[in-house]
Amino acid sequence: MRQSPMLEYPVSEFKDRMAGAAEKIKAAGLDCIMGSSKAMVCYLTGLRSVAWKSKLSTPGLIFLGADGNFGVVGSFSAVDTAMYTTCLEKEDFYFFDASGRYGVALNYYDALCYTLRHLGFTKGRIGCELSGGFHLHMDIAMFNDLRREFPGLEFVDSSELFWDILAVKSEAQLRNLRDAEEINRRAAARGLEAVRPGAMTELELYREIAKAGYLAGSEHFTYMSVLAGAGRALCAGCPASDAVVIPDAPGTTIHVEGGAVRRELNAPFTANIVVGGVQPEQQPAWELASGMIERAMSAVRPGACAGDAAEAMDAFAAAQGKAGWVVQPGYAGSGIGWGRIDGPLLRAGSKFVLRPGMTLTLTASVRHASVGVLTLRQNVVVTDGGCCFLNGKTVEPLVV
Amino acid sequence: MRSAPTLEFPLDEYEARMAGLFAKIEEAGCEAVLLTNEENLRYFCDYRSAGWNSEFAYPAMLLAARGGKAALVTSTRQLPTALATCCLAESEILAFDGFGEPGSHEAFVPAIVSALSRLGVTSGRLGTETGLVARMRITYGDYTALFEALPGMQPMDFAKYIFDLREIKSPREIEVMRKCCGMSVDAFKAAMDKLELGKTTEEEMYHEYVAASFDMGADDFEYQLIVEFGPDRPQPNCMPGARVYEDPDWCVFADSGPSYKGYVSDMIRIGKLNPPTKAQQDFYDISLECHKSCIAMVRPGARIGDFCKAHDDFMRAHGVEDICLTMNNSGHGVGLDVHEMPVIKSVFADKEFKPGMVFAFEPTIIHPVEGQIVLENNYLVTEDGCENLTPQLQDIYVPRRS
Repeated sequence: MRQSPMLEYPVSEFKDRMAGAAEKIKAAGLDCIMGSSKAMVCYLTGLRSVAWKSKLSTPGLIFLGADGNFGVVGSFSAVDTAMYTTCLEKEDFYFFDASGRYGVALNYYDALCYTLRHLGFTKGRIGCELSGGFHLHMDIAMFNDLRREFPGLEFVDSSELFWDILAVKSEAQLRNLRDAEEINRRAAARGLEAVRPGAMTELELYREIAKAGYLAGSEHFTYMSVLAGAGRALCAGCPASDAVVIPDAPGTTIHVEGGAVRRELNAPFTANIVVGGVQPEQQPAWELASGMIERAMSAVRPGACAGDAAEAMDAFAAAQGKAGWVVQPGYAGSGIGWGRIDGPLLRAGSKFVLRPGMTLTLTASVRHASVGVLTLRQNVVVTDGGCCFLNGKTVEPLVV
Repeated sequence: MRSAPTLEFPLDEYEARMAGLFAKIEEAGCEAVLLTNEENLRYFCDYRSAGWNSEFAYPAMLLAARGGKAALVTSTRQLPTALATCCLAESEILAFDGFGEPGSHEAFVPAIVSALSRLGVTSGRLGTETGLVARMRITYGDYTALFEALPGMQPMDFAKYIFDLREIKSPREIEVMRKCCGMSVDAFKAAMDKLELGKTTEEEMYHEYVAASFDMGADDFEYQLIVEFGPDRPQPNCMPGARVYEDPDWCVFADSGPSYKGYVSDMIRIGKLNPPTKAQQDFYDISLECHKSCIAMVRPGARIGDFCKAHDDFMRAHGVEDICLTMNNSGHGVGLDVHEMPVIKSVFADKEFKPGMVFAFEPTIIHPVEGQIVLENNYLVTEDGCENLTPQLQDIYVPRRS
């Protein structure tokens, strides 16, 4: 391994990551894994590419064995980017080239087959990203062809193992996540400054917030939902509209959801901008959602299960006689970092054990006529003794 | 169908697209299609959601069946979003508890099976987004579970038929793309005009580019802008880094563009603070002349294979084939996705250009000393030739001089 110009973390961290992952692969009874997602490739190698959303390009796919042997497959055009951003040596990168100039595989599929054979991963069990928030970065027909090509390999779903590998963040990663959270704070503050109730559309406010997010240093500012007023708040995830003027009535809540990305790590945010402050009739919804977040935080600690937070939230709402207000009973949020939602899901019944260094987002959504749907979000880090805010409290109303 | 409150185009645009989809279902000989991708849902019925940003979520899926039957499948929680954006009739929007929600994985298969049943489809071929330049936005596990629950149905690659429709842009789409392409270059000029020697980093230039784009009306950045400073930064698709622009003879390389109403642009421009050196200009002129030479042959009926060959022959004739990154792979369609059909690659040699296609052409030289030198334009195939949608700054841009 080597320190390339844009490698974000020390080589030693990548050695630890690779060794730790190999140990987990072995413990899971696998011979190797195939990681095609941005999360897995970036975590294990540091690859920084903009092409992950392409359905044509192939930034990189990693095979990693229980013995620590590994190789990355990608296109010829990805080689220089890999050498500039990753810990990989050139011989670790198995590329294909359609022009035929280099005597290597002419296409992605042939390169995958060559690399599997070259690394000796042709028999046994290979863990793959087949469920749980992972989408194979190849088309389904190609994956089926691969299975037929290697009858001695059993392609098994190892999504839980993959999330387990990705879950705990290093101090350096936490710093980047805190930076992302700080960008969110600044973007929301800009929204508060720019908003003109009665004279601005949702889309205009969205542009101000997103622009501020980028100028504050976000690598990508997730396409946001901006919903103004109780009626619009019911439209979960609806994009900002240029047909909706933000109402100016007291208590109008502008629900903003998005998230900054810093060094490939995502910190989602939810901000509630309230015109004239929270009104008395809205107070019960705020109190319920705030209380749910507090209870969830109390349930997050090392050794606790991911499901405990959801159960604590629901128990609190039930104790208040407001179980019917809860929009998503049995769900309290998820891990964060590689995406806006990572494993583990904080879902009632989940036995995924929390560990120090995991980053979670806790979300409480309640339905009430005075607000439509009110969603509060708090990002936290699991600590040795419980959990703490990732970068400050984020559930207070922003009053304009 | 109906005019939803936030519908992007007039309803007749989507009526024509859905009519095209039903015709393709007949042509392909399948009973129904299942569409799972953000771009396809936006294209056919304008369903939109910020929920696509989570890999765990399936905000909605579109089913269409023979006989003009369709259904948008979503969750009860997201039903109001579907009603606000999607142009299908209310009776065609089917909401199921937990469908596509991160915490309710088990709701997916029963919902699709039920929706197919309501469309009267229980056997035959089900078209899916598999195959080249296509990805289903469901996990492989859900894909296999779905077909296990549909023993009478067989999957069929329908991606080709989708692209038959999406690759031909309507006049309204062209109007949107023209604006998007225009902003992509204008924002580059704005960001270059702010470039400061010894101060601006690649990341900062990217952020200035984004800010300028938003000011011009862009609404998203589906793909980050690639910004690279200097001759030793020829790394295609690499993220911008912390490097400072320290030498006025360094080239600034910028690639991609903003999104507008879901459509993307994809340009590459080169700029610098000093006038180009002779070597830089000579290599740039090869890329520029390659555009002129190859684009002149694009007209309806011209074959992709001949276009690929013309590019490769041009590079050989100029003695740069060994340092040309784009041999046999010099462009791609652009639209709701940055990489779509027509892909300019010999594997699609027999495919023909058609009026309404929009594609990016990027003849690229990666010189060991001069670095990455390229001009990328977006072109619209017209009835009798080709129109450059990114005509601004065809030369290396030097602020206060160009």
